[in-house]
Amino acid sequence: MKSRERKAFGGISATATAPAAASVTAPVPARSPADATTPRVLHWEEWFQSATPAQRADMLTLAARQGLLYAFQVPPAANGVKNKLPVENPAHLQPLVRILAGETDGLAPVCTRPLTFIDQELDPAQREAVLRAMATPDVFLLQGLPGTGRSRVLAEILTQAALRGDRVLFLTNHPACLDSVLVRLMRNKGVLALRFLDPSEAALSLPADVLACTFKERQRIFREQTLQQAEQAFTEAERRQAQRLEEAAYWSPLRECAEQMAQLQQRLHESESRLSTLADDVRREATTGSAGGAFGAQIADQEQTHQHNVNTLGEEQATQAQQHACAVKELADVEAAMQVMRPTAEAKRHGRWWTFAWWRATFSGQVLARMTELESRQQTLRTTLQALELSQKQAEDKRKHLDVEFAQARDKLLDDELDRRRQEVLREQSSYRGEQEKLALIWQTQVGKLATPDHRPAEPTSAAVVAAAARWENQRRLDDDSLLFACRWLSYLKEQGQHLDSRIVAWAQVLAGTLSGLRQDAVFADAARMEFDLVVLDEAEQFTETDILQAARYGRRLCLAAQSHGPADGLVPASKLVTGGPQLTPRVACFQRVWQGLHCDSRRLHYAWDRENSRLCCTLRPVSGQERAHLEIEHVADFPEIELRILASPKAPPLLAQVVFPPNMTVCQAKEFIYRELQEVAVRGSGRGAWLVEENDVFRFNLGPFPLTDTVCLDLDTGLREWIVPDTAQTCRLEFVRAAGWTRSQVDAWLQRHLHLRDLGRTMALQVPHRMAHGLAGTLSEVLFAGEYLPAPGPMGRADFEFIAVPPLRKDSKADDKRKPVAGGNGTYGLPKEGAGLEQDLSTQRLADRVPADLRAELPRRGFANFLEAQAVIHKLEELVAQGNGEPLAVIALYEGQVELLRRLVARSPILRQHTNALEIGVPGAFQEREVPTVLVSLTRSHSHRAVSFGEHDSDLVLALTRARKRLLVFGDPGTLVKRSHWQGPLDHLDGAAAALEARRLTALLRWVGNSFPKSH
Amino acid sequence: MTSASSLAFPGSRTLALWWRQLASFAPQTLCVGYLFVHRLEAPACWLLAQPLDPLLVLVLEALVLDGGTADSSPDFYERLHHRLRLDVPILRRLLRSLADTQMVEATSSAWNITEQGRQALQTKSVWTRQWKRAVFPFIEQLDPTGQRLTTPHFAALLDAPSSSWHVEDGMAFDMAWLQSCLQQPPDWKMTFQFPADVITFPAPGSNSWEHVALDRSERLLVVLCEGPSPGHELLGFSVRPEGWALNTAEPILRLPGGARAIVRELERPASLDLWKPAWQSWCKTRTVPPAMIDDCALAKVDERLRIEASADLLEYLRAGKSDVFKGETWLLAGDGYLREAARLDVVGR
Repeated sequence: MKSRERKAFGGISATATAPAAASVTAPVPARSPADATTPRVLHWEEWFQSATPAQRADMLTLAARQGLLYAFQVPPAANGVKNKLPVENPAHLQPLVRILAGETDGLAPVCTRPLTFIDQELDPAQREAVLRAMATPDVFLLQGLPGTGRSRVLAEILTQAALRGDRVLFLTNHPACLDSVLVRLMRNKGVLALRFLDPSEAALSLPADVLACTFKERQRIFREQTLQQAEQAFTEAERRQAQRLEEAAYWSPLRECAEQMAQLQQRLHESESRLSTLADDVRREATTGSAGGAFGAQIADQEQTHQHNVNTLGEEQATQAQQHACAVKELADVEAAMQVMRPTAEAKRHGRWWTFAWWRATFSGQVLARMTELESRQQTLRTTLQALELSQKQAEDKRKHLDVEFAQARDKLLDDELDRRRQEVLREQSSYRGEQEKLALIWQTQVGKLATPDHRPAEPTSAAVVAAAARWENQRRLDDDSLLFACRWLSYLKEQGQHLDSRIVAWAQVLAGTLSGLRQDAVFADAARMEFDLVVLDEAEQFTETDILQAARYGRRLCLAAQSHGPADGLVPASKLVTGGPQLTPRVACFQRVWQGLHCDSRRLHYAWDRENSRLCCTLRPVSGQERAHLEIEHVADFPEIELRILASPKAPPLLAQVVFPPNMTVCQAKEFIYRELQEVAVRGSGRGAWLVEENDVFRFNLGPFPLTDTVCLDLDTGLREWIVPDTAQTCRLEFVRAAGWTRSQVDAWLQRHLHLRDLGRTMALQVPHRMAHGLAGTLSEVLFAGEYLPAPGPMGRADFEFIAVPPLRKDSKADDKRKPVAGGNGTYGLPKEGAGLEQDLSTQRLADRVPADLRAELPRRGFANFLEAQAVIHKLEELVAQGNGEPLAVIALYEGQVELLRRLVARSPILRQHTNALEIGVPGAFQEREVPTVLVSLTRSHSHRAVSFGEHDSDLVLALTRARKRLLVFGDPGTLVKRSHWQGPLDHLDGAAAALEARRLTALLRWVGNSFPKSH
Repeated sequence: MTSASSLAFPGSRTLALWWRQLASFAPQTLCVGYLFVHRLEAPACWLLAQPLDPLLVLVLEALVLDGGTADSSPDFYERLHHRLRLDVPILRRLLRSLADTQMVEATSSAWNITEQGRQALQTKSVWTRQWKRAVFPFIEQLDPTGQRLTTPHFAALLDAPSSSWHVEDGMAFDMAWLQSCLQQPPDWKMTFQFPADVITFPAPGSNSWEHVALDRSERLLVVLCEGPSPGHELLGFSVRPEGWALNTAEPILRLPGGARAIVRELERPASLDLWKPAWQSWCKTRTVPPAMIDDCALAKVDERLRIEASADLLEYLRAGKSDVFKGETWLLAGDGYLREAARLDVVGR
């Protein structure tokens, strides 16, 4: 290199380019190997991954300004570490993030679309829940009390989504919740669901129907069945093709047979035709002389004879005619001569001599003789003529006779010929028919060889054979193609089968598993990377906001389902939530927060309708006890009977709190008055939800979970109707008639203005117990759910809920002051103030052990047992078994120790030993998502002096008490319950809220026990 | 911007060496110099033929066997199940994936194989849209002072050793030029080897980081030559500046003769007005008397600059033992970034 040439490159940094990175496609082929040694070139994606956020922001700003970036502008990546590319929240996640942040103002209400429900027994609220879940563009929340059909609704949602072609991810916290839904889901063969195992599960522990939908089992079944079935299909296709090959030989004989049959048929037709024209033919032949053979000869001979006779006779007749003509002429001549002579002759004969004639005759001579001669001749001629005429007539008669004879002979000849020929045709036909029968037999045999009825010719004709052969040919081609296809399919399965079964994950419409399973199962996690159309989270009350957001990333839409625990939900954060087993982990109640933001809760309506003596009182604003002192009464000027109660609290503007109507005013009139005068709709619904349904002609705003009966319609305004139950003033629904001009937005605005409610269509609360007997549901509603169970209207029936006190309640107990019952009213038993101390803490060794030593050794080393209570349970069980209705029984004890004790005692009972199949004993968790007709609950705890919690987990008590379908028997120490109900603070593992909820429920239970004990004990 | 006059160009021996190295390409003319290139790394949407999943091929075949169009009633799935022995849910998913690629149409009551599906069945491949980043080279056309003569032109230019080029304000790249390539006719795309399967670029104004285009602007030292007739293919070879090493292993540019327009110097060869100063300059470095220089007649014949010189000049050069008579003396014409080269062929008058 010359110095000048070297110098030219001195001031320029030579940054040779390198081959394009793998992520960047060059429109031209890759570069020569020489570049492999050159420094790396800048690639945008690589740089962006390694850049700091500030660098990224700077470059993006610059790029936005310039339209692009120049490489020299891009600084070296500051951190130099290759990071994950930034994951931006997908667009579909934005609404959810806003909803979780409590921003619901801009949300448009969800408009549902009609669906054909798979589960036809869903109630209206459940159906609406399914419709909303399917229609929501972002999120849907479902909340249900135990036994209200949450699993059923989820199964329907999953089924509908799967049948629509959506991919669904179904996540829960506990496997039992998965299975209760999956069992329903698997009833539909159109849905492929995959169940992934929780880390705590073993496949063998799963029920058979659930095991069948686990990933490995599905893989195994797919591998085995698909290949096997493909082989069967191939064999079948081969068999069909062989059949076709065999059948190919049948068509030629069939065709020939059909042709022959057609020919025979033709001949028969011809023969028939000939038969019908035979007489004419014979006659024609005879007439035209075209007949041949003997018949022709006979005809000719006969003709000839006849002709000869006729000719002979003709000649005679001609002679006679000639003679006759001559005679006639001669006679005429004679008569003419006589005519001429007659005057002369007459004159002569009479001697009229004076006449010229006489003289002429005289001079002529022999006139008279001549005349006489003429007369004689005339006479002769006349005689001759008569004789000739007679002869002529005779000849004519003879001629006719000859003709008749000839005709008769001809007819006879023709008849004979006809008869002969007919016999001949009939013989021919008979022969044809015989041949036909033979061919028909051959035809039937040949046709019977064609396996497929559709391929058989409909009739023995060539056309039918051609048509059938065409059908058969099509089928043959199809069978050939099918065999080819079956062969290819089998080869493909043999080659790809190993890889193919792993694609089940991609094909499955529903992937189901627990959240912990998703985190730990690599296959599940891989499968979940594919985007889902819908993510369903059951037990959503147990998930944190992070969990929910993480789950939402998997899919475009999110459905959260939670079990409601009663009235506390939605009012205070549920801090008693459980996750992943026995550990108690307080979590942020994300579900409840979202629920409150979205749910149209009719409990926010504070209107109340009561009777004050006989007067109807409508409460527009809640009035506390203290505020009652500030109520001022005024009367309406126009209606003095109507009393207005105005709350005039100090330092607050006066508010109209109550309106009291006169006794003669009905609810309808009162409501009309309030709407007319105050523009308020004082509605009172039932349950915790209200929802708006768009129908063809109306918008229906339901204020209860089911349609009520005995309702009346109240027209409040144009196109606005309120349906109420007059007896209770309960509002069933509001209706907005489209024909009156109501639109969805107007309805939403009206509801917000008048009721301060807005249904966004993203929530649904289930409150109607379906599995539980009516009476039992009603009782449990009061005890556990503060009246939020809403059994469908109907007779309540007997409450099959029994409390069995252990130890039994006594009317009087002077010896034991602590156990002295609290005085009950109305002759009822009172309740002891403190517990009996019957429980055994299994973690401690006591001298005065209440459990027999042989049993004690077999019990676990922790938890509690209550021997006396267990004996009472066994005693009751024996009674129930003796009654023998054959229905399954379940005994649920709140502690594992008590469960083990009960199992040992059952094993020792001669009666119960024989019925172990129908008896199941376990802790509440073992009965999750399951119900049993009759359940015995052993509360177990019986502490002598302090308040104690009930159950290892805070949900155990509710779970245990809601597992019965028909009958519930609760065994417990009333004194311990009394003690517990008095304690309001945190207790054992329960935090303040959970402890308060338990105390409230036990207080309700005690209240019920106090009221009903004499009847049940 | 560095002006053309301040850049180094190879000398006569280097050019002679390159000519010999390029002999296998049978060059007709030679052009040496610098190309200013915008290598635009930009995301593009490509319409690519992907092999169709054999399983989907078989599903399509099964559909065709069943008539191509079938109602979506349970019977339909039953028939398909009978043929493929796959569960109905799996069949639904497979049909859905076929529908996603428009190979079958799912209406309310029927699954129809589309024309696209039939084509896919024949070719066993399916056209898919994919976003990928690619490098799109655009060559600048500059005057000797570095001013842009016309908009940069796309040309499929392979990566080669280069120097970075700091684009100044007046030389900014307009993304519309890239977009406009999509509107060009197929012939144009074929000529300049613009990938025909690029169907779109991100819309201007996109804020996504993935849509940012990066211009790796660079200056390349290249040797351009015109191939033999017919075709007069335009070939470009990279030169590693260190040692003037010409890489003849593979041309970095290979365009049909019709594409010469992108290199102005090839489109419009240097006139004798440009060759004369070059000749004079060469003579002056050899102290040839001006009278002898002016007495010469110049003519450009192929790659040669034919000089009809006086006997005196010939004698003068022979006396100086000039290489010119070995046929290995080369000159460059002009003062631009790209300069035409010619071999001196000095003959007597």
